[in-house]
Amino acid sequence: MSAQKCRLRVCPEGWYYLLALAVLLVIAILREANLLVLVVGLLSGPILLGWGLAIRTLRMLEVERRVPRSVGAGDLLVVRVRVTNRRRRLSSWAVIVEDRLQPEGAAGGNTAVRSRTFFGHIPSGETRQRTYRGRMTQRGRYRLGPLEVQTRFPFGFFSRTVVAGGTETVTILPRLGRLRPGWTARRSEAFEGSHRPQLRQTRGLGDFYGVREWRPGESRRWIHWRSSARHDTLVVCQLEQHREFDVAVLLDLWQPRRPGVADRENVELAVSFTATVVAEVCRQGGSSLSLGIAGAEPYCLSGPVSTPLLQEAMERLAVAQPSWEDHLAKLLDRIGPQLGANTDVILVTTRRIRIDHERLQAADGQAWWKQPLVARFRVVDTSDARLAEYFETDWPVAVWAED
Amino acid sequence: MTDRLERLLSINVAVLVALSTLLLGMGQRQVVLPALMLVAVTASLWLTDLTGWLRLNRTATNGAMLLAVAACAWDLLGREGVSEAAAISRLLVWVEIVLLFQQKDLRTWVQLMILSLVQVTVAALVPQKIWFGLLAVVYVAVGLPAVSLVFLQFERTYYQRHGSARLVSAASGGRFRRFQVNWRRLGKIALATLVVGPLSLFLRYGESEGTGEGEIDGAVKPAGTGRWPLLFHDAVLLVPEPRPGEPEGLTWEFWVRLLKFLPATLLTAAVIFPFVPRLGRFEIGLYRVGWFESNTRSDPVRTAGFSDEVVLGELGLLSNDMKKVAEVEFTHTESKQPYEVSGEVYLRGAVLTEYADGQWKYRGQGHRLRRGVDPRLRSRLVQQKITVEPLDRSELFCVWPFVLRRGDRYFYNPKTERLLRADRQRNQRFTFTLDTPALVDGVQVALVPSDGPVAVRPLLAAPPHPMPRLEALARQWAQESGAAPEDWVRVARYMESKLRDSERFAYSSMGAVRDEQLDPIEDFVINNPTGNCEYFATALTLMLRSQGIPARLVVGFKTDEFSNLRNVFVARQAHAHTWVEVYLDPEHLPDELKALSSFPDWSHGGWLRLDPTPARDLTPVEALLGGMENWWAWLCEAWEQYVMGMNRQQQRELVYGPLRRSFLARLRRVGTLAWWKELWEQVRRAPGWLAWYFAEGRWFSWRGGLAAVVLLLTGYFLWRGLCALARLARILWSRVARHRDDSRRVQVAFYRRFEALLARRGLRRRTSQTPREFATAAGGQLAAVTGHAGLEGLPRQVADAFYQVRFGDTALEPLQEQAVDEALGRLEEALRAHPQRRLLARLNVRPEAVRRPT
Repeated sequence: MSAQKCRLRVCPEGWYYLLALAVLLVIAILREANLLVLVVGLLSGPILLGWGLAIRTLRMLEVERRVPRSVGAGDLLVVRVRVTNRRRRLSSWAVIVEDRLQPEGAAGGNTAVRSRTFFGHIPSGETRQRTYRGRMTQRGRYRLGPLEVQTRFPFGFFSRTVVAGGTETVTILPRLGRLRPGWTARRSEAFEGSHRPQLRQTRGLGDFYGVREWRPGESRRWIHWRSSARHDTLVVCQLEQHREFDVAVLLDLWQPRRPGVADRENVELAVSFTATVVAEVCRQGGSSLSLGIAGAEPYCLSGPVSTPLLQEAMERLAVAQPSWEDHLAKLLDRIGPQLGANTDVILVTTRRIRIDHERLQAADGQAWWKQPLVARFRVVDTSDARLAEYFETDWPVAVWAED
Repeated sequence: MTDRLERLLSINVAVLVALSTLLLGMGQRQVVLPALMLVAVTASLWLTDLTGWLRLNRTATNGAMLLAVAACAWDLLGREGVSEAAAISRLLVWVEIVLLFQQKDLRTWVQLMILSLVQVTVAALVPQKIWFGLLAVVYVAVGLPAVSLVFLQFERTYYQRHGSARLVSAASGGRFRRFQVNWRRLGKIALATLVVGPLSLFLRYGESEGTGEGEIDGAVKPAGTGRWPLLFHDAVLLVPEPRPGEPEGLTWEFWVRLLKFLPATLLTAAVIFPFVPRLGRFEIGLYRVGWFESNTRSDPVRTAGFSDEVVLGELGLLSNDMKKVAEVEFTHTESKQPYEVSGEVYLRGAVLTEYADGQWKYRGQGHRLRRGVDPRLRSRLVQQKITVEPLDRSELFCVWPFVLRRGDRYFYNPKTERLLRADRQRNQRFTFTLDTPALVDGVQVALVPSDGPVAVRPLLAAPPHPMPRLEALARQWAQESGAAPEDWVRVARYMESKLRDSERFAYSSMGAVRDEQLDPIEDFVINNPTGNCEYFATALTLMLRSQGIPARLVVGFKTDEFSNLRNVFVARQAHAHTWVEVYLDPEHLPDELKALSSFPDWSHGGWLRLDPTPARDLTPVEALLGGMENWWAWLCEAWEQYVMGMNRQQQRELVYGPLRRSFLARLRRVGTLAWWKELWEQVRRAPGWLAWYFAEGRWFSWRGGLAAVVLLLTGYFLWRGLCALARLARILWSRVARHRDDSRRVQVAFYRRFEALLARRGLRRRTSQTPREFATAAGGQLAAVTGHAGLEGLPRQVADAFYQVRFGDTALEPLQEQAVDEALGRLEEALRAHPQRRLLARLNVRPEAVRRPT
């Protein structure tokens, strides 16, 4: 164990015991009761021995924690704690490994969580592993540790604590939702026109993505009859088309100076929606992605779609904080030059906002926003109740079970 | 069904409670309570803990407790002293029994252990025999695992229930709610305390699961619109459930480790016991109960071996009682140095002169002691300090003759020739001091001079019924001795040897069946020559008298038991003895005997001590038992002397005094050159001595083995000591290194200034951040918030300079120092231009979270 700090303290039970011992000793001295002195002597043994063994129990004990780098908000966080007793002879009993999960900065609120994992017995030369689980409901970056190994063995009179190892960071990513078909349709309307078919039967026009049920109102020509026969229902083959246009997702994290509950919900919804869209774009692949965040710390990220990019984007979204100042114009200034003509721009905002050519021009005074790009600009307002038409989120069962 | 840990805990605590009740019962001299508790413990283990057939519910528990209190109150009514204390003891036992029949939880176990400790404490306030000490050791042996098992059970259940907790910072406005007050429950407890006093701790009030640690005294959570419910849920961590069948660690190693605690605990007690100061007994109005009185007082002991009247055949089985009767310490009267006595010591109690029908009585004219002491004897006087235990007789025992001291509390009765004490002093230990000239060269002489004229007639009195066969045998032995009729000493010694050494006579402590038609002593001499010391002494006395040699019977103690612990001879009940004294008038006193005794004045003749009792033939079993008895007697004596009898004076004499003297002596010796020379010589000779010792196969001897063990142990402890020193050195070194790092850190003052500057604005470096990362982040934030793009690079500039000083170990150039100073100045100026509140709001930092750095 790379021990940094050790401390030994008397537990409340130890103080009670010492107090009782002192009272007995005083009575024994005042009454010159030799047998009581003998009893006091016999009762003093556990104090000294408990002190010695509490120190020895934690010697040469190695503690290791395994934690995932990131996990989604509300998803299960599983942390494995392994304790190895490197001593050759002495076992360890009643060892407690205490871990703390504490948010870094303002993200995640102010709540720190402590976990104590109890190891009843660790024989010499052996390793014991326990797992504790949890659900972090607020996105953000959290610091784990440092681990504290503690024991009060054998009598609970003394507590010996050793601070072991360093800290680790776990990022609680924004919770991902599900884009409903309405989003696909709306996006197509915005970027490609409603007349343009999205799903084709023709095999050469895209890769097979999956099958879904045919919906009334859709063209019967989309029905894939062979699959329908196999599934005993009318199904449509979905083909994924490789479209060579880029996507820019801009997140406007504005909230009033004194935000209400609805404002905070809007912020979280915006972050979650943005994360879901980014994940969807990265899943589809084949294009480049730009992410801009207009929050407390304006931030831009762009590059070809890839897993590292997705990870970076998610981590940035995890720590993104809202601001009551309008940073959207600055963000547009920064990200504008990076956008191509065929870039689809999705602006996710927490407020009712209108994007037009004049506004964009007013932002910088330059007319770099070309007309086609303005046309491809789409605004999603998370304060609008219609968001539910194209975005939904599942909540963890445990969260609801708590209520 | 309980698991293994709970079962073991139940058994352990039950045994603990039974032991403490036994200790209490021993103190009160009663067996009912321990027997009752034994039955209750057995029944509760079977019916309550193992099978679960009988478990008192809350109502039954409280009812039984109230009944116990009522019974105790009834007992206490109008009583005091012993009865009062006994009632309280009974109450303790009743409460324990009620607790035993409950379903056990941690609280029950702890309560039982506390009650058990109270019982032991009460038992320790009364005088106890050595059994208390032995049972206390067993109590500790059972108690240590019990405490440890309770602890393990507590840890297991506590961390299962409270393994995770939410911690809320003060800034968030939440508060921990450690204690949740249940007013109804509190009211019940208060009412119960009024009614039953401290016993309310053991009543049941209806347990409620408190929220305990980790609950947040939460402000009411906002309802929200339900669009993002996660916003109102705190993080949750779940500790792992124990796997079924998971080992609890109750392995052999666990028990062995606890067992190893036992000798260490005893050692601790042995070290603490003598050093706890004895200040005397303070009467400060504490609760006074009859049997709480001084525990240094012992119960009166009835004498079994000694009697002032000897009735042959009545004694039967001579006592093998090893109870101590008296102890004698010999010192030089003048020099006060210990006087070493070898051989046996005869302590006279009474002399008997008249024999009739198997019974000895005293009938004489008495004898006055001569006042003062012959000046010629002063230099050889030996002081005998005698401590007599509480007895049912007034006689005192000592080595005769003696010199009376004035002012002592004993007196000499010349009519009975006995040394006595007052009757009221029988029931307490009695210590007195006498001087005696009877010890010459460390041996109690057999011949001592008479203080005054002796009436010979009673010493020659024949028994009322003639014993012709005894007289004939005496005559025969006198002739066999070949001594002249005037040579009394030779005749007496011959008869003594015939009785003591001939194979015909044998010692037996068992009573023998005697011929009722004959006098017992005649039957002993003629028909059944087996008996105890009384028969032998009587036979010799009567035989001597039949030959015209005056003799008498002496009753007292003969002991050779020397206690090296305290340098005293110890007389026990089993040492009671009878012997013979022959009066030799000046004409019959041989010169060689007088020369041996070296007394100056033989004008009134002398007394020759004869002991015709043969040594007892012991079977191996008897020898073994005797040895064990001796050990046991030694233990009892040590217990009485050093445990029960430890007081201020004894502590000073045995503990503090020797330690102080030894320390001072060593201190003086260390200061002398001779000591160092001697030490050097010993060190220098050690290798040669070892080489000689282990040469030529001396390895394989007990000395070699012992030396090897000592060497190994020394090496082991040396190694452990070195390891401990190394650990200590490592710790000290790490502290020094840390301090050095700290001091070096202090030297980089400009970086401290930089951090303090930013900290006042709510920007603090996290422990996970390097200074450079922090500077970069802070620069970006400050530039964004203040709108001064030029601020972005300043923190980085300061951080780079810090790296150069801190890790590059090089000082800054003057120009660099100036640049850093300017950068800090600009930062200060820029931050000053922005009011703190506004800046904090922009940085999204709460003002209350900003504290002035220390």
